[in-house]
Amino acid sequence: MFEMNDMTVRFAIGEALRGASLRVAPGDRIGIVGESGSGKSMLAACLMGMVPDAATLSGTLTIDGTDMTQASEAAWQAIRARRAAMIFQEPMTALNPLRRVGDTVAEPMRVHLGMRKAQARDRVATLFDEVGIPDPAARLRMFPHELSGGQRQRVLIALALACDPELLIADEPTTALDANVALKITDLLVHLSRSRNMALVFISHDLAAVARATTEIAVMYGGDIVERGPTADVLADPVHPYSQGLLAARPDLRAFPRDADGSRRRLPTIPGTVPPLHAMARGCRFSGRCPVERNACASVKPAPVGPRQATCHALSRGVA
Amino acid sequence: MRPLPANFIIGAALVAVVIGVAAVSLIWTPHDPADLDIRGKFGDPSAINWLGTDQLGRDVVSQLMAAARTSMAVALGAVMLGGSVGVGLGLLASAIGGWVEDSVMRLADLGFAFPALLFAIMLAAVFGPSLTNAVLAIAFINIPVFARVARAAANQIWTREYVLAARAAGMSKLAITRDHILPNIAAAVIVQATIEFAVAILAEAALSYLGLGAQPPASSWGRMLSEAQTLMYLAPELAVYPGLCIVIAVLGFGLLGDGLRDITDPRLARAR
Amino acid sequence: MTLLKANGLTRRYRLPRTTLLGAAPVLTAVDDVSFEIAAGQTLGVVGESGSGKSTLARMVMAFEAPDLGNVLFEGQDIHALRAFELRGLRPDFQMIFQDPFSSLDPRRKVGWSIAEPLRAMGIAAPDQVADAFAQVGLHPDDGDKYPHEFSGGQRQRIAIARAIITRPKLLVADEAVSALDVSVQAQILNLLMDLQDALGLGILFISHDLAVVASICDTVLVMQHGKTLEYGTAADILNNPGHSYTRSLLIAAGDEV
Repeated sequence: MFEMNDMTVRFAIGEALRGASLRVAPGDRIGIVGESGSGKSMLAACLMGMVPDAATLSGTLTIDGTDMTQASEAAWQAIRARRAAMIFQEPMTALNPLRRVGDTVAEPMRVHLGMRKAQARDRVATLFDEVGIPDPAARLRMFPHELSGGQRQRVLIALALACDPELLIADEPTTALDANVALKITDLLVHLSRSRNMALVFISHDLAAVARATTEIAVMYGGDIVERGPTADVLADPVHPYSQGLLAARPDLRAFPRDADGSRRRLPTIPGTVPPLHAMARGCRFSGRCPVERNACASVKPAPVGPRQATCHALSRGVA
Repeated sequence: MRPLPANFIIGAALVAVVIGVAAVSLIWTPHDPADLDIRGKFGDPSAINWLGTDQLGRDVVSQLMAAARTSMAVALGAVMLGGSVGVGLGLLASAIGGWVEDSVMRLADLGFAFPALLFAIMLAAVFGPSLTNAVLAIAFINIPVFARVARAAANQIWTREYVLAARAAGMSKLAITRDHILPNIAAAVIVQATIEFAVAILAEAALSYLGLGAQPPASSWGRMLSEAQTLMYLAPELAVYPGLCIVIAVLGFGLLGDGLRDITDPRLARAR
Repeated sequence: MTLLKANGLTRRYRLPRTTLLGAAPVLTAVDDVSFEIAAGQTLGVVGESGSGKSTLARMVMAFEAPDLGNVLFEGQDIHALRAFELRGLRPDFQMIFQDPFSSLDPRRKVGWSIAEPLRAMGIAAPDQVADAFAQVGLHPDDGDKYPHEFSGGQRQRIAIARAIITRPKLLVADEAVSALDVSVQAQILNLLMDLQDALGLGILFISHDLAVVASICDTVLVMQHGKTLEYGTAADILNNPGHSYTRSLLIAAGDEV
């Protein structure tokens, strides 16, 4: 359905995304995991044709066989909202505070699908019900500030579903929400993906949420997809040094601070910090912080290797 | 860096011209502005008198330049005086809060309600008309404006986390106001100041027109306008020149202030 | 040795009127919360937004006064002190905030911000500033840079340097790692643990993430709607949560049980 091949997004100061390939079929639930600067938001932007004008793209993106790589803004507008929709991190600011939420959600239906007011309103009520908003008819008429954070995010999901898209991209949908609410929203997204056979791309740095919501996962670092595979497998047994470092650095619910002699277990960390875009290595982006780094790593870009398509020289040598 | 907005560039250019002319007039004018030549009155523009001469034979260009000096001086004096007092009051209100803040703001409301011209006339009636009194009157109407702007901006900064951190560090409110609040409201205050500059120039012109500002032999655009009023049929251009100067100066400062606001606000938002 | 003791802290806010003649509604942000922190120990306060944990932090830091109850720091009631007495005590208890982007004055060099607590005491000690940099893993030359030149994790280190420069006895960390990436979070948590060992700090660690709390806290206080839901050792609460709310937080943090 959506197929991205070897996509690179290049800015004057560096490449924000390198050689990214991703295939999204109907009903897939794919997680994209990474920290700041990993390129995950840029990947999402590519899927919606929302890459900044200052960037140059290379690689291909096809949607149902149609090459969208150099497509015009008009062509993308036909895709957005109708075939691919996106929800973002901040439910607080994504809704126009001066409009009733029902009107906001009805708008794409009226604009893209040409529905009449009453028809759209009925459909909004149905959508609100589908996303789990209680008493939809009353909520329709409310303003954003009258709703809680979780309800606002549900409204935004309803908005994304307005034209029945085939792909829903959720960019950090739960980060700004309380833990309990985040859980419910995550479950809602999974439920919607199943019931509508809609593909879900779930981008997050919250590994617990991704574990719950997805069947496949891709780990990103510095613009590269460093490892991919079935979610449970990757999270239980990562092969790429960065994935390993990332998962080890997670605080552990079951490990308590002090051992017998009163000293505290320190969390395993990845030394150093993510370098800025212009200072990234030409070869493997993780060089400079990698525990199994060799001489060639910084200058030679590793090719994907093995069932996890891990981009690591050490793996291709069978060392790690 | 984004390109500078057009209003900033145009405003800055106009302001530079006006200030430049005023500065130059300190050391040089084509002729001595006070030089009378009754026989040469109402002269046409010529190589010697670029814009001609007025009803007393004085060179118009020199008059305009000297008057520019007066306008700039009055505007600068009034805005700096009114600005310092106003910002001080605003910072005080914001730092202390409570009834102090309420009282200061109600006083500011009173100040807004009071017409500047009336105040100037009062001052003139008591102390006699003079440029100094004009400066005082204009400064007075500036105080509430700056107090309000400073207080609003300061209130926002007090809630910022780095100010909380300073309080946690044990800094006194005075030290915090000096070290954190003042630098962070500077942008808003400067923008307001440039706009008040434009207002002050107009106000000075109005006061001088009424005879309450610049007294002879000191000249100002307002006085030139006033004098030209009686000569409208003989030499209408004598009213146009000072009027045009006022327009240019006010437009320049207004655009500059606008442009500064455009530069400072969106960039602050974008930097986050 | 008890460093901080909070007794029955209560804070109420009056909301804007909803009717003309009736009483204005009252929001009880914190309702009768008590706890203790010993030197060298960490108390985690867990709750969601609206639970009152931030208000609690502000009362402990004496930014706000409680309506009922008191806060005893080394036996002294901090809200009963006069303004200058409180300022004199400030070097002993410091705070780190959630947002590393807004907790530093953007117009000031980082070295200047770090030295602020010393300046408040009237001390100028450049070697102490250099020490603080070293302790948090930054280079002393970084003091000449501005906050925007650093990443989120580095800014949080700077904030920590500012908080420890007066060698405080108590540190209040309000969601100090919530805005950071996982790998950076681990570094900062390790740093806090190192500093606790080096300085014997008591830490009040506020977070909505139970996993983070589990990794660094000895005792835990779970808050909901301003009230104490659970209070006990980390081991007790995380292994045997008494309330379904705590259980739901555990599940949300990725617990499979």
